[in-house]
Amino acid sequence: MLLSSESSAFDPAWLPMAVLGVIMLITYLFIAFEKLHKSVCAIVGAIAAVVAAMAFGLFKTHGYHEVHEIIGHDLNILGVIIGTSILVDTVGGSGLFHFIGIRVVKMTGGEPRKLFLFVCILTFLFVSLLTLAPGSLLMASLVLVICRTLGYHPKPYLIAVAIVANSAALTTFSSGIATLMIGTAAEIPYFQFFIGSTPLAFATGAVAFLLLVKLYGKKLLEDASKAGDPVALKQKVAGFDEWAMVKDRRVFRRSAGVLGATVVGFATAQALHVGLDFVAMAGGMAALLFCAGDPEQAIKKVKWPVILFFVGLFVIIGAVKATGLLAVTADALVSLGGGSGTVLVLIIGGFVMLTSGFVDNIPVAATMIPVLDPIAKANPGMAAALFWVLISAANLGGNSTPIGSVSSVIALHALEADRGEKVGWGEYMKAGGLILAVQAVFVLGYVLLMMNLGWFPDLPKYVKG
Amino acid sequence: MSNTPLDDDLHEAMSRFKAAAQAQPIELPKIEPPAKVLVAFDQSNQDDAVAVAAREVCTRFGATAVLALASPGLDIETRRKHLEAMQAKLAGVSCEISPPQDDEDPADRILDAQQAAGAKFLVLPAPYLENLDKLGRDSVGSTAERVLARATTPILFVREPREGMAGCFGKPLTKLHVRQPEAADALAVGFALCGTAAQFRVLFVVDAAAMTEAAALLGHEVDPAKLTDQALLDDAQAAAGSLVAAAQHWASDHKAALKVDFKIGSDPDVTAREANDGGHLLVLPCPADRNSSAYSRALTVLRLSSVPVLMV
Repeated sequence: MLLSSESSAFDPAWLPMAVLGVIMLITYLFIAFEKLHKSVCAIVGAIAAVVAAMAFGLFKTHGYHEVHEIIGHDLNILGVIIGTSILVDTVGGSGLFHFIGIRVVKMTGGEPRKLFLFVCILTFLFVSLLTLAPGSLLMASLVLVICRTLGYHPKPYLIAVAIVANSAALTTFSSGIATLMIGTAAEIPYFQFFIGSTPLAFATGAVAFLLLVKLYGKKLLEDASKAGDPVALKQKVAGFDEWAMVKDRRVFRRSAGVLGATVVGFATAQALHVGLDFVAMAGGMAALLFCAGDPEQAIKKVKWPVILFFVGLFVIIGAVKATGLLAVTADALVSLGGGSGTVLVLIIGGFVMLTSGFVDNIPVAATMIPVLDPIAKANPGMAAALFWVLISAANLGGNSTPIGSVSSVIALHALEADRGEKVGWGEYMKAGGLILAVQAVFVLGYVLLMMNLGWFPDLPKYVKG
Repeated sequence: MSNTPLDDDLHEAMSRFKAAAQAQPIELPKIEPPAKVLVAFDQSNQDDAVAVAAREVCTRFGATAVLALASPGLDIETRRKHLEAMQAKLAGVSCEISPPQDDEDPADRILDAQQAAGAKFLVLPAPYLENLDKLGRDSVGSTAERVLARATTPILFVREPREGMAGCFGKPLTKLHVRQPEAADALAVGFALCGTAAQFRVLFVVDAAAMTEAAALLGHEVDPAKLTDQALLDDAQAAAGSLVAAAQHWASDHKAALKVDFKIGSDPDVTAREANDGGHLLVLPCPADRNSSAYSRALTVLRLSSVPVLMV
């Protein structure tokens, strides 16, 4: 057990719950409405939470050192973020991802519908391999350059990047930070992802693509007809030279090798009894050693604000957990479900999808993990369904609003920076909301079907008791 | 862009894609190895270094060395002794002795000898003197400058005599500028001379100060936010796509190792420092227009370099 107790010994017990709960709520509101930098919000919230927890005597066993234990418990997440960040920056420097991007675009011949399909496929590939933020950034920049070169309007393509990316984050254990957090906490075996969420990643990605074609297909063709002679456009695309971005072929080949080895490492980490953080760090260091990486530059490029944000968040949630509030919430959820697993899955799925649209999905996932943990312990047969629905809902929930996920923030910012064009909430939600509604049916239907048929493999952590 | 970290990341990623999307196919000219290489020397302490460089060039091209003694005012016997001494240093290389020239000016002697021999490549000394502040424009020697100003073939200037100079040919550094028409020629000559076993390095230097000055002269206001080092490097990378692609295609076709670097700073200083520190053979495109600023820059790089410099 991480903390000395999951329920507070303070009398009355509701007081620390209320105070810490309010601190967490205020922090989340500040994060959602961007009143302060989110890292500052999280750290200030963490300081307030620690002060309150100390005042209520919640850290009984180790005193203040329990803060370090809380952070230490989730160090693996931070290790994965730091390691993959170094890996992606260094491997990206070889031109490998850009090379793949241009190669694939050349295959479309600039034909708008084909280009749209390949943008979606590439987004899926890059996000699956590189996680949400770097994958989306790469695709947003590719879309801007290609559209500018061909005279197409980038908006439909960027919205596709924003939305398809969230499906891709479900593909494997390491495709998204929220996925990683939940997978790690629930100790989900890597290969169970191919049953639990990979099918949903493909299905919801396909749903997104089809609905986006329905919504923007006409516009794509109109833009293309305005852009000029298709034969000339085809020639222009054929003239793209992917080697123009490669600085060193040997480094390029080594980068592909290091990236491939890291992906294999992620898949086999559990079998090798090491953490994903070990694989990520090893991959990052291999990239620095063998791929002409600049350590100063690569380490500087690590998203340190994100690391601080996580540290703050973990401390807040650890302190709130110590009050017993999250256990009470879990009980309330079970009561609300009236003992029905189906209702519980629907409630969790709906709630997480809704909140992930407004608050970053990381705090939502981080908060829900300790809520679902006791429920899963009490109901091992339901554990898999609960965590699969949490993973899917936390990632896809971001589709509903323009601030719901990192991918939409990046894609819409790219559009604004390049064309000075803003996509309003109404316009975005018309596409994202509709897509999420259909995706929700798929996700909930799939999880409930698999749960009721008993086809989800048991999660070892909960079967062990 | 360049307002937020996200803008910077986008700009960086876009610059690479731009390089690919804007790349124009560049055909590298086919270089016929010269049948004859004029080797000029002047009885200085650089003769040994000239011999090493000439041996490398002639061996790599399979060419005959045409020896020309550039020093005027020597009697026939002295002249013969020096030529024979040079010939001995080039043992194993096919050699011819250039007929004596009457010109007083060594530069005229070299160019006349080249014309008479039909040599398509020149090797000559250009003294490297460290005290550049005092020597100023004379630091490569007036003969070298005058030959460069009038020659129409590639010239290999032998600078500081150094240990293992032949090794420079195994690691050529080609400094390019994106809008220089001679860039493709420089790449092609470097490839032809150094061969597929060499470790090629191509260098682009972004000279922010020169760019700002040029923009000011044209009456353009420069947004300082856009002049960050990273932004300048990103833009240079986007603009250099065609040349990078041409070089990489050659390297791919010939299975050669080639690395491209972008650096920021004063162009001549950075280029010379990179070449000197790395012990490279420096390959420089040299514009035909001798009044151009690019020509002056190339000459300045030559002055600052202690390694052999091939001007194309």
